[in-house]
Amino acid sequence: MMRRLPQPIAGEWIDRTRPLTLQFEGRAIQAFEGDTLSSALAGAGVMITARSFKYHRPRGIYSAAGHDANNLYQIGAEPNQRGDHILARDGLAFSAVNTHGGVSRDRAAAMTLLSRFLPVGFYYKAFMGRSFPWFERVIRSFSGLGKVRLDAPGALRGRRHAHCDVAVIGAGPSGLSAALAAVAAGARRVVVVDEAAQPGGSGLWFAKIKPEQVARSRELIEAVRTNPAIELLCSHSVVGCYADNELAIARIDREDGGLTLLRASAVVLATGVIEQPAVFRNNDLPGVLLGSAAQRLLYRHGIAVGKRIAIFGANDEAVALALDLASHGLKVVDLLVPLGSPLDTASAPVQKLKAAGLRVHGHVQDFVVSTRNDGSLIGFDFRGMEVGATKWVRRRCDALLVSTGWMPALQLLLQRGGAIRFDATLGQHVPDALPRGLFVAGRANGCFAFDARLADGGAAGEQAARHATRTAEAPTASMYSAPRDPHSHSHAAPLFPSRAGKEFVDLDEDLTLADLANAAQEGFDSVELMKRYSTVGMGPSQGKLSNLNAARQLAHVTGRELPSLGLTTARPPWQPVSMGALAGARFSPLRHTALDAWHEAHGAQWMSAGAWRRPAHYGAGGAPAAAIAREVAAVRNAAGLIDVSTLGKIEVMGRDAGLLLDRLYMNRLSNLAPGRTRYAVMLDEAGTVIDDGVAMRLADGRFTITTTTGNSAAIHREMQRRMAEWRLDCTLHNLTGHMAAMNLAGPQARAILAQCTDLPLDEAAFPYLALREGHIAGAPARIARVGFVGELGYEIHLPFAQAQAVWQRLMEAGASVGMTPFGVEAQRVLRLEKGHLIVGQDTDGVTNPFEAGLDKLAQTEKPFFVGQRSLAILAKRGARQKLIGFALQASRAPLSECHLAIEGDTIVGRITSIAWSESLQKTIGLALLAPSIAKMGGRVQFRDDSGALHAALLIEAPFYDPRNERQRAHVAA
Amino acid sequence: MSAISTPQVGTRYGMKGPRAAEWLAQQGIAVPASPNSIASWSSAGGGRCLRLGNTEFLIEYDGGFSPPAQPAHDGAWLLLRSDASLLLDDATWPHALAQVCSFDFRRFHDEPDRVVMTLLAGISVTLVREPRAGNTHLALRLWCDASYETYLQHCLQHLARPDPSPGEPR
Repeated sequence: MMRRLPQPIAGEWIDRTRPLTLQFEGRAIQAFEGDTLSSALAGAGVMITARSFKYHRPRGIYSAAGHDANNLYQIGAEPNQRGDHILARDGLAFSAVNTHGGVSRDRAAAMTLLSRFLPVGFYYKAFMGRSFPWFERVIRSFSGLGKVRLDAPGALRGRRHAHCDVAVIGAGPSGLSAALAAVAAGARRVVVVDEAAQPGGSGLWFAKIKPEQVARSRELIEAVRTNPAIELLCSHSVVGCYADNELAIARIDREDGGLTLLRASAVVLATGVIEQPAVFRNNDLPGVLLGSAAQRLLYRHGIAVGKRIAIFGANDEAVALALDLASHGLKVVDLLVPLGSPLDTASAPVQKLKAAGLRVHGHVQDFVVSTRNDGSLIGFDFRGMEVGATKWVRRRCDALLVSTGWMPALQLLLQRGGAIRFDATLGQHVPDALPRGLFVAGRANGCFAFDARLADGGAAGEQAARHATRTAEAPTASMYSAPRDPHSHSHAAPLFPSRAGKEFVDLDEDLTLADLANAAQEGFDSVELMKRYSTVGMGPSQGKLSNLNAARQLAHVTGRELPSLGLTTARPPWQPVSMGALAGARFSPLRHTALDAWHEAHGAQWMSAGAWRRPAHYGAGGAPAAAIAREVAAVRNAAGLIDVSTLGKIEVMGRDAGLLLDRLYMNRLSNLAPGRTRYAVMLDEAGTVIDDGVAMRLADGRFTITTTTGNSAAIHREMQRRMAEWRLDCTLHNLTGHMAAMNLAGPQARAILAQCTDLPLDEAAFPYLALREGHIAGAPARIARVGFVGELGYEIHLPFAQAQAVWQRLMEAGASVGMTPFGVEAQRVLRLEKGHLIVGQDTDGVTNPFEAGLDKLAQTEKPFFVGQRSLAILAKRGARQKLIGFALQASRAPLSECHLAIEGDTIVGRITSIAWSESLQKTIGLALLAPSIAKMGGRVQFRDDSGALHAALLIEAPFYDPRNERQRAHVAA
Repeated sequence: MSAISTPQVGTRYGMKGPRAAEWLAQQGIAVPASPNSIASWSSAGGGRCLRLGNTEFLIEYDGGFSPPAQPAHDGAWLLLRSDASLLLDDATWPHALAQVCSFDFRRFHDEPDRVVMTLLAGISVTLVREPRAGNTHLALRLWCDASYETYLQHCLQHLARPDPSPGEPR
């Protein structure tokens, strides 16, 4: 059983003067500041810390480094938090994921009895057809990970952008050495990132048997900590390495950790090696863990992994591990060396172990772990050449450490497009081709000896700095002369099948040797196919502990060599990262018009319009319909003033300004006389109506054109693109945010405006569709006589800063005749009464001018305009829908936009606009209907939400003032 | 962290077109030699000329000054500019802005006359280093579309909180 050692270990990361109490599935756990959730459980003697994904087998601490997915916890609303990294906090409550009744009494543990009926890929074969949804529900209830709480409040995660000359990933000896060398070589800012809570890596282990190594590591740590050019980011994981050396770095010691986006001129990967499991019967149960995990728990958290420890080891590190644990008083009783190990059992260190009383068993061929019924470890059985190939020997232990080999952590190199090759001498993969600006150092580069790690890190750091400061060409892999070890540190194939099975290759997915053999025999005999069929490597740990052994099993089953099998593609994220961290802070840029404060002070009820907020209507009290009706009546009978600043306003200047507009809009604008305006419609290449606006000619070679509110940025961008593509001599200026705009409309509009300007406003001087520049209330303004709402109207454009004063002055001037501000809702009614369409509301993503009734504006005799060719085709094909006006037969009905038009059992169209018209005393609207239905004088039925049908008569728009006399001022008050 | 301040600006206008640089020089304005750079002057109340591209300029006077009339010829177009501008003068701003902006503010140390057009909290801004006598830290002047000023002020005040949320990267 694991336990906290009573005496501190020198340099341990916990603070024993700061005790904490956590709650694990309702049980109080005593811990210390500096503990992770995993170490807190270990220190409290909790052996079963999780349940497996598929069979709900008991699981415990395995890597203590987050390389496995055993210890995933639910913390509040946050699922799947890695216990190896989340730091303990007083009062923190957490529970294992994927259990039915908790880890110690998981009712779903019975699933293991069904394992023989659940072979790899069973659901591909078994649950076809109509029964699949039932099986899917059952499977999902018994497997899976944490629970997503849909009612959890959204939490903003931190996001930071950072930059550096050199980023070093890994703060072990080679990483620390690289960082210092980079600074010495001229790097001005170096960032060192490590997943552990403190730097040093494995350089701080073997304190009593390699004290000089630990002392040197401490010197490096101190030098890095005190170097002002180096930033140390511990408890951070680089989850992605992208082009231009952009690194996505997640904070991993909290469940609400954010993301840092670090752009580095050069990167050093000092990511080390990941200790790999050996695969034997019951290798997944609590008490079986990696040798490196034992050292992490010991040196960081003062935890002994057991009272009677055995080591299943194949390399030099296994011997050093035994010596290291023994030097701290832990009882190591057996070292089992499997057949085919690179470890020489006749070597001096092994002899030293034997001399110390430890039993060394060489040439082990078969190995199984013995457990009690509850899954706890009681010992192991083995047989081999030394004890006789047929004789099983049983030994007792309460902790079995596995130390049979390593895999370099080179996934980030592969993500960046680098290549690796298998080095037969070293028995592991090594870098083969490095992307520009990326360097590899240390054990990830095949350098295992401590001095070699320092030297290799120093060389990589220096080269990275020279690359970052552009003092040298980027070195290539062939320039590397890494001091790699001349012998292997890994067993070639630590796979030990047994007749009884349960040898787990992938702890995430509960995949055994037999599962992978079956997959290969079914024809999924490449690493990529096997991965997809069996899901090996697709769990939360992304194959860190399974991909290599899976490939070894595939090589064994297919009789091929490991290097010939290749590797699965490395993709981000390298470590699990929460969706919240990826999403980061939510930006919702909101635009305010120059008149926003006035609207707010006068009771505006707001609505969203693209990125803007606009007054829907004014007046907080009373029904909105009454307020809207009041505003409509004011415009029809006296005057109203509306803020239309949100309209896009783009100025086009230069010799080819007219030509640009002629090509972009379907009607001709180049022949517009200075001082005149014209309605303009824009199409896309397919002939679809995408925008409309009013073109105003200010002078020769100078136009302003308005766009719809939501489209201003897109239209400006498209204009820029076209201007460059067509190499036109003109330039653009997006005035949208620089100019405010307001529309003064109503029979009294002229009289009101006349009080505020010296411009002549009579019909002859300022006719319908004219444009004038002058001053209103002292502010420079452009005034266009247009009539979107069907009344005498003036659209006034003026500088942002002066808009409020002008608005105020106009309101004062109109007060005596009852002028009122009006909002978007009233404007919609007013324009609907006139039958004016709104692009994007009364048109959709396929509506063309023939369907919208805009085809008469198309000037097809122009040499070219965007969509011209499509219009010719569309003219022949005929309309698929027609925009047409209607009036309900009943006065009112619960209908709104998008309610469907029904003919028999067939949908024949939909409402695009509908409103009650106080002026007409009926409900009017526009609808896109099938051409066979859209006949003037015809009838149609619209279906409301309840399914009730409402009859409507199709009538011609405009519904109000059909001869347009009011906006032309032929009818004035 | 200090409050965000709004600088006093007298006159601001834009100038665009192939002959804009020539026309500005004729007006006696110090024209930056290269795009994305700024030239400032302290005479006549002070001001600055930002070269936003090869042929686009933003001119700002700190004091009152009558804006020029539109040049009579093609190739130099006088533009209305109603940008909002803000001053950020505190040593912690670059670190705080790093939460919402990907620009590397260290570059101002090497290129003090640099003009940066970037995204900040999701909106387009123009940033320059604000020369401040006696400052040991970086002060920034930024411009954004006037309609985003309220939003940006809100974001910056949020960033200026002394206590970042616990999960923020260190």
